[in-house]
Amino acid sequence: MANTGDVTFKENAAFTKRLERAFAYGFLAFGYEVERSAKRNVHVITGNLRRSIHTVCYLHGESIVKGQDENGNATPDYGSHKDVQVYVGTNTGYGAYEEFGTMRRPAHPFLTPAFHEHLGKAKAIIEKQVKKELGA
Amino acid sequence: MTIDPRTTDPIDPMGKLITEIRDDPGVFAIAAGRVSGQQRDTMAVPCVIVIDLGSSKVSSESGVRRYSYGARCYGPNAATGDITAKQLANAVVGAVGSRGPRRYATVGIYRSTEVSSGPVLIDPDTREPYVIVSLELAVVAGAMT
Repeated sequence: MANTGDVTFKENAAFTKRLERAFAYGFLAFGYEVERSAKRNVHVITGNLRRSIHTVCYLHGESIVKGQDENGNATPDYGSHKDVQVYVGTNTGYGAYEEFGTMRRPAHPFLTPAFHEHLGKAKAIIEKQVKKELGA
Repeated sequence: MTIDPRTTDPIDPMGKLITEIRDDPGVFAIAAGRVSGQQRDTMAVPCVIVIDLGSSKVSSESGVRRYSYGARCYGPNAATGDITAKQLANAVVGAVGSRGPRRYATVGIYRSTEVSSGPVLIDPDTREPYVIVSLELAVVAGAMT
């Protein structure tokens, strides 16, 4: 009986695809939560860095969200990857200086703390979105 | 006093991490003990600056907490500074990038891993080349006995 489920699952390619897509949107929802927190955490002077924080999700190398950050700049291509990968980042040149600091400016981490803030809730966020996508 | 690691948050292991990096022979050969958690005052010498990036609890059952750190590995502001920065970053990764359990009086480090190493950046203030290494530590409160 244990193998029956596997066989059925593999045969049902359409459902597998739907499930993968649902999971991708689940991870994307988690990415959006991290992005929201990062935008809340970041130090703001002009707002350029905050507006540049974005989330990109890949499913088998294909981006499932295309678009721009809030500055109107296209989100960078993080490269082709397999499975599901989510990136939350910034495309300003000085994002790393803010996150990790420089010689005369202390670090003001905003991305990693945002990730830590939601790590404990990751399962619940992903599960909720997967159920929504599958209509469960 | 016995500490229950399931209910006690571990002490921030940043100090231990700095000590481990500083005392590693590979790092010492390049940075000569210049590893700290603060901005430094002398310039144009190889050094490592460790930054706290936050933490989160992995599970309430085990009491394991996951800490993130960044290590800025500086090369001197010379023609070969970027190579030194890379060598220093490699030495830091060698020191703590993939190490298993070790126990100290106040903290137990279950595992330390390198999350990523970035490209060579140029410090906007001093024009010195540096490489950022992201590290992650899984830590429990002291009483691992």
